[in-house]
Amino acid sequence: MWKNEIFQISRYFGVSCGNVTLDEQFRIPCLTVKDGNKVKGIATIAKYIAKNCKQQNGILGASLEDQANVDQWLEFRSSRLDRYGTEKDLSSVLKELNSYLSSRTFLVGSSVTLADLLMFYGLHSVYSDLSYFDKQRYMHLSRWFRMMQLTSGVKQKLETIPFQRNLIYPCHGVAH
Amino acid sequence: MKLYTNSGNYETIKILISGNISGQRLEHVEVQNSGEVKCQLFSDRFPVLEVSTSLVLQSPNAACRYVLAKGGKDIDDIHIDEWLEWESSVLKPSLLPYLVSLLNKSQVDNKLAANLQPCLQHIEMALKRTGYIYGASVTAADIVMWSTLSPLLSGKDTAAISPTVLPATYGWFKKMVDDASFKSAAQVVAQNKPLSLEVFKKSLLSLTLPTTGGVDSLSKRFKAGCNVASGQTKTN
Repeated sequence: MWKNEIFQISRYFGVSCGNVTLDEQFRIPCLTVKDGNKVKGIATIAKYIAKNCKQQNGILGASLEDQANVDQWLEFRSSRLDRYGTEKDLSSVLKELNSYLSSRTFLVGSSVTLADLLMFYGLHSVYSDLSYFDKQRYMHLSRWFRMMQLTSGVKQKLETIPFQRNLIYPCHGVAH
Repeated sequence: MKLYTNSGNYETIKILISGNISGQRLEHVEVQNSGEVKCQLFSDRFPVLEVSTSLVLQSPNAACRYVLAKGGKDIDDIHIDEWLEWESSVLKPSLLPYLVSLLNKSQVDNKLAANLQPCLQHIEMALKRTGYIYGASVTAADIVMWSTLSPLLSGKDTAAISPTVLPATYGWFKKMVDDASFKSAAQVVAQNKPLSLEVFKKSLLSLTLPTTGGVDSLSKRFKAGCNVASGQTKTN
């Protein structure tokens, strides 16, 4: 998954990607860049790719405040979403995202940032296993996910995750 | 800026050090539970830095870097990004269960100690090169690592990790204790008591630790085309 994700992020930014391997000692992805140096960790690699792209357009956050918020969500991705051990851990991650997004369109600010991109790629495999019931239960997260899926250049060759147009289960199933 | 924290939290030290270094005034508010925090939270973890009504930072590392940057003291470098990500996604998941087991059983859990060793060696190797985690002066990487290691390195009660195998780490830890920015931040969190594992006990025991098995899901993530099994019962 990581390997594909890093290719997708490179493609999103229109840059070529170095060789991606697994750092065996710490079980984290490792990108070998042009000068032979290594960059490790999914969030750090994504940031590296974005920083090396000429047209950033605030993708890392337009202000100091937005940058800190992007950093916070990148960390959430690598330390929480990537490390859930049980079903309960995963549902608490999804619940937190759902509640945060209940009053927001994007994770940070008013346009797509690297935080949205990395969270979308990390959640894609989770969403492809979710039932319609769960997609409705995490309705704010699902609305954000659908929007990301429709954003130009994001989904690429990933499978389109289907959503129901109307509520199909009584509303008390919604997680707040 | 308001810094909400529970008592004796090692993560709070990071943000206070950054405030001291960058000259940013932080209003330190000690609370018992998340219900007392007025801003919107997405979890009940502490500390929380309330930057404004629209921005609340719940990642201590992001908060630490933000406070440094606000005073023009942060260095934008991919290696610092890497160290901070490693601390939150690799070091903490190995270190925290070890500390909690020490507090619960007062004896060393060999398996948890073995998991932690490669992380400590990784830090030791970096410190051997220049005396700092990265580069030739104190950066966010030193601040973050020093605070996270303080429950482990500050007391005799953790002697399972011997100073003889980590000379550079212990040397660096002691040197920083004498730095005014580090010293005063540690004193605030330890309430003027000497640093020890005991100082952090209550806040460490209140943590919800991620269940083991996280590493298995990491390996799965690396395999191309393999979905991370969520095991949800499908109703569609």
